[in-house]
Amino acid sequence: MTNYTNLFSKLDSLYSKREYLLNQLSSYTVVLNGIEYEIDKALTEDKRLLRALHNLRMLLDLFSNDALNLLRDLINKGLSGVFYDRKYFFDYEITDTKRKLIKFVLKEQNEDGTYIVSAVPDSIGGGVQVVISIIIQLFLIKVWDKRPFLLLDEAFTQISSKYVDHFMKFLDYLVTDLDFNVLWITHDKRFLPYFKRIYNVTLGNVEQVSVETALQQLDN
Amino acid sequence: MKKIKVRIQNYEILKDATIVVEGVTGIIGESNNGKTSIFRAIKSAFNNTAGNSYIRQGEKSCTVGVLFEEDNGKIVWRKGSSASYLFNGISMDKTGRSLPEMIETYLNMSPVVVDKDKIDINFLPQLEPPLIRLLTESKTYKLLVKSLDGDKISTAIELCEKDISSNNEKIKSKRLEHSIKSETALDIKNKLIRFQPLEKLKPAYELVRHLPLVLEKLDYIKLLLVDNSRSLISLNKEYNSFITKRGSFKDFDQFLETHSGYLDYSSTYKNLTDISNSLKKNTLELQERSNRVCLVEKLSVNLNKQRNLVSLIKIGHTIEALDKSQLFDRGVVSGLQETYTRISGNYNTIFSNRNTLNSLLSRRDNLYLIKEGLDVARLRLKEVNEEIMLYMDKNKCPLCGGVMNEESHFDLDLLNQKIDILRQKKSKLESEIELRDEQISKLRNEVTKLGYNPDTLDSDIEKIKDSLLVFEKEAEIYVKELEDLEAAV
Repeated sequence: MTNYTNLFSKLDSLYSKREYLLNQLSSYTVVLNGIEYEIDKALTEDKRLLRALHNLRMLLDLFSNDALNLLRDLINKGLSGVFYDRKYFFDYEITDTKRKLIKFVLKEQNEDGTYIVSAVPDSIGGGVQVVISIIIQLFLIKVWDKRPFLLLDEAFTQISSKYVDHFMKFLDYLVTDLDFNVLWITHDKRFLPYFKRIYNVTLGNVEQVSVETALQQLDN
Repeated sequence: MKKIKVRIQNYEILKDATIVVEGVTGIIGESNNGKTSIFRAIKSAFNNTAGNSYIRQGEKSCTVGVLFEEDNGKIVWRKGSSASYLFNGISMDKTGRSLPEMIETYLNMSPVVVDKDKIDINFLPQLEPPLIRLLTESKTYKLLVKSLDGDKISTAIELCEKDISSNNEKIKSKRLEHSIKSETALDIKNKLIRFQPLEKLKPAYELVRHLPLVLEKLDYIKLLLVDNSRSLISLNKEYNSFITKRGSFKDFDQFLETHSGYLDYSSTYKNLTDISNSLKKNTLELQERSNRVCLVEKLSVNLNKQRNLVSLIKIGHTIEALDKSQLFDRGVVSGLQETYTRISGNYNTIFSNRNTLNSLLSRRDNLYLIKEGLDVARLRLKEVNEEIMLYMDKNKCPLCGGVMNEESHFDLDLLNQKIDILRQKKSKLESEIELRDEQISKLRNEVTKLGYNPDTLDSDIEKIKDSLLVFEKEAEIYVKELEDLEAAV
């Protein structure tokens, strides 16, 4: 079983650098190379500042690459943890930086070392799709600094039974590490043993039940 | 992990349900028993869903309350004929279809917007495809880098691009205004070709570098020359006095041989002649060397005058490199090019003025020289004529001025001979005068062809000199200006 540690630590430092740059912008001055530029003045007359802003833009572009790499690493961590017997490798290609066009691909390594490359999402299986999706979703919630509360309705049924245990361990790590609450509506009993709390709904009545009770009720 | 408590009343099938969400909390149940109603109820409360079809049958309103244990924030949403919120005890009625800003900020679960699409990243509803199918790669990328569209930096970049394009327009119009044909560095290069001959001056510059040494040698040679001349003069004096003395004593050689056994006159005479000859040879050689050094000196003065021009060419190359590098905007480079063109023009004027001046000066000098010779020849002619007239008067003795007679001591044959010689001299002088007149009129024609009046040549030369001074001074200022500009860039 894969051990996960500090998956999001880089993300915090990366995005805090970005926040620093943007805060400088919103404070109407930019300090670059020890020189303070007034933004409004720059917009009208100071060409040095325009250059400085260009530099800032370049820094932000660099940041974008770092962010993408971070996401790629995280997805690869998840894929190798969940699909333990496959050699998946998620990657991206920037096809147009200016127009922000990228392409996702999934590579699977064969025994002879060659790769099968599949386009994401159209040419990959549902299980892999949902795992990549939930990682991106959690990543975005973190990046956009949204409330760590996720509501799922009949999600992850595409994941094969043999990978459920590994997936739930990975999800548990993410939820704990990011301090998330997840409300997950499902009738898929494979996930029940991993829930911290379970509520059973019968004709509009809701009551908390144990795992065993929940399993019985679903079997009935 | 702090809990979230949810209470839902009269929402769809749910009468009164309480759920505590802690970590991963599961909701199970058979189909159509109200599982998804819980999902929808929370979502409705968080975005103030329009309509009222979800209110439980027979009830007038539904209520969803959410308590976040983390900070004890409590939101209660009530929906009947209208919607209202209660947030931490503060009542907000008639909210319309929107979510009160205060609650929106607190909840912090509003959708993120990318390319006008709203994406609820906190919700994954039933039957909705996973996020990766919902979003294109580009939208994911934009969300990931927190798209900069519409923020301050994008505005700045946009304005910057506009500024650059308007600047380019300005440059274009300026170019037209000043008829600057050069669009690229190639044109500047073509202009530089005009200064290509200066490359040939490189060896001369090398020479100038050694000029102080040459000048030092020159001083030494001059000293030697003076010394030699002095020796030569004193030696000549001694020699002459010796010859004179020798002439005054008929038997001097014999006298010397007899009375001065130790004094070897012939060897002294030979020595003196040898020394004199070698001194003469030395002097000639020194004079030749001196002339050569003077030439170098003259060249160095000319070269110094052209130093500014060399720095100008260097600057021209720099401008070309600047333009090629595209590191600076066209405005700056164009400014440099303008100044450069101005200076080039200035230098061209200086060159043409210098050429004119040099040709005028050489002609004027020639004129003076020829005129001087002409005056001398005329004077001589006058003297010869007078002498001839004197000899031609056969009644008057040319020596004593007395009356000529048979007893006269004057030889008429000799007189006729003298007159013949004088006539020959006269004809030579006349032809010389004719030649010089021809030369003078040729030179005057040349001056006229150059566009100047031969009669006012002196004052014209002074005028050209003055204007040259002004141009050169101006050129120096321009070069300085260019250097400053270059440094500023």
